Amino acid sequence: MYFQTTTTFFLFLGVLSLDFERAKDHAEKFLESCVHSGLAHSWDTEKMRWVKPYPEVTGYILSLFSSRRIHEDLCSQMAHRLMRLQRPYGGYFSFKKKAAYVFDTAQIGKGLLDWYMWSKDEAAKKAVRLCGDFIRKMQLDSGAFFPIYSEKSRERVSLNTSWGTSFSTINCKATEFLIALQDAQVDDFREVINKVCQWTLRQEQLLYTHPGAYSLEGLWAGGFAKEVAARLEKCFIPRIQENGFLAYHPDLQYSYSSGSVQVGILCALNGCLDEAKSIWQWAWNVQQKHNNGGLFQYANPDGSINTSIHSEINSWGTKYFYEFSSILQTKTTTLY
Amino acid sequence: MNFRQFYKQRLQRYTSPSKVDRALLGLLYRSFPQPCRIIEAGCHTAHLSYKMARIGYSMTILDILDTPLRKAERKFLDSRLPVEAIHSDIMLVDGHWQGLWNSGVVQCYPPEKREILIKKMCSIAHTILLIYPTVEDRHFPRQNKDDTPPGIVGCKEYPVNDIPSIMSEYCHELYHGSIPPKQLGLAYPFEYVIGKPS
Repeated sequence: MYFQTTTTFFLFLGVLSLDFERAKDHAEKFLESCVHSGLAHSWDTEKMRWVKPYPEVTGYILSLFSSRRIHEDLCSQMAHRLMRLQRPYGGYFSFKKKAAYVFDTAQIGKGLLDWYMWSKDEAAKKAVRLCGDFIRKMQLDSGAFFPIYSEKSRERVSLNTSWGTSFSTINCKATEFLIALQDAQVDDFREVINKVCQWTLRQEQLLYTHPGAYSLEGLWAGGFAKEVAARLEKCFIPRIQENGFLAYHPDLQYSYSSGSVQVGILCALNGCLDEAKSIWQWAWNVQQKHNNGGLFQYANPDGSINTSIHSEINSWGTKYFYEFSSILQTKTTTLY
Repeated sequence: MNFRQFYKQRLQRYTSPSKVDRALLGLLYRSFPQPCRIIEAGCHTAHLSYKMARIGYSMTILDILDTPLRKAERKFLDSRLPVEAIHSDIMLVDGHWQGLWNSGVVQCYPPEKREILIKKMCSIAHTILLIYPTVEDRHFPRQNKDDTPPGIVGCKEYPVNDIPSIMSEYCHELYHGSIPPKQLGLAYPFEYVIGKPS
């Protein structure tokens, strides 16, 4: 009886581990295929073509591959394209030209830093340093970041149009890059990091999974694990449904897949493994709905695509899912 | 020649009021598209408001000092330009304007009083434009007399780093930039914030 139970248990673990491995493989294939001319794209399932070349997301993928020391040629291609796109003052444009974004610059900076750690390419180090300087200059005394630098008017700008263009807590995610810079002894950012984390902690309740999870990732990197756990407990965990579905916003009936996966990762890091596994199962279901290995940007509770905004499969959600699978694989193996 | 004398000379050589006026008027026109009813808080002789009134802005000028205010009012009236002149402390003013601007006062308020001033400004206008010198410029020694009222030449000035932060607490839309010395014809830059109160 004992032998039978133990065998079943280890068989279950083996199957689960295999699932993580399979999910990672598919995600990696998608991430590899989404890079064209050195920039990451999204896949439009209706138009059936790659759309939206996105420097910020290229930074994510560069970071993921470089830190794992895989796909060297692709990484080199991405890094060189990103270095060419950098503005002389260190910032990076988003979709909107003539305006550099703090958030995008931090994500690209992180990618380039990981590439530098692998390749020891001095040009990458210079670019990374410029990114750090740009981010530092965009910070207010209160700790918040001006999200945009307008090249045309040479002004730091905050608008009230969306979370990407206002004094938003998403910019706390820059902490990850600044801490990595600090660790790599490129520059000292302790004051910047502390100020942005303290400012983020003073802000209101989180409702949207994305960008809510970005600010939590920043706080986590800044060493505020307890605060992150409290916010997860209060704002997101009660909203996770039995099948792992987590709505984009309490009033919406669909999920922003990347946001759900980001919350799942934070749950896993905070020791809420049941919740994390439940979200992972749902996200895996989303991944299996399409054969290219990516995750729909917006998905319904059953994992099918939600086209109310658009019908794209994006690379950042897929990248997070790859990391999520890795984390759970490690945690599950370590636990047992 | 020491450092201070060098920059004093340089300042004299560079000082050209018309350049400053041109730079500030450009900023004012951009910040307040016409038609617009504007108040200049701490106007002194209001020479820029006068120029704005001449091209059609509806101006209110306010100052705590009576003499320069009356002089400014007389100049408007002599040119048959409509103007509302208010002799008062900004903190005591009631009303609502589409725009409020000021140059060279906000840096004279100590940090603890600055927030109250900005909050008050945000409560009476749709768009705020504050212009102030970069007082930390080590090349330009400030006079910093403690007993001179804010906004008067030579009065004590405080660091300006927190001005955009305070504005961000009250404004949903904010622009922060600086006008370089070359454009002003001065030895030091001006900073400015344009805010739209929430």
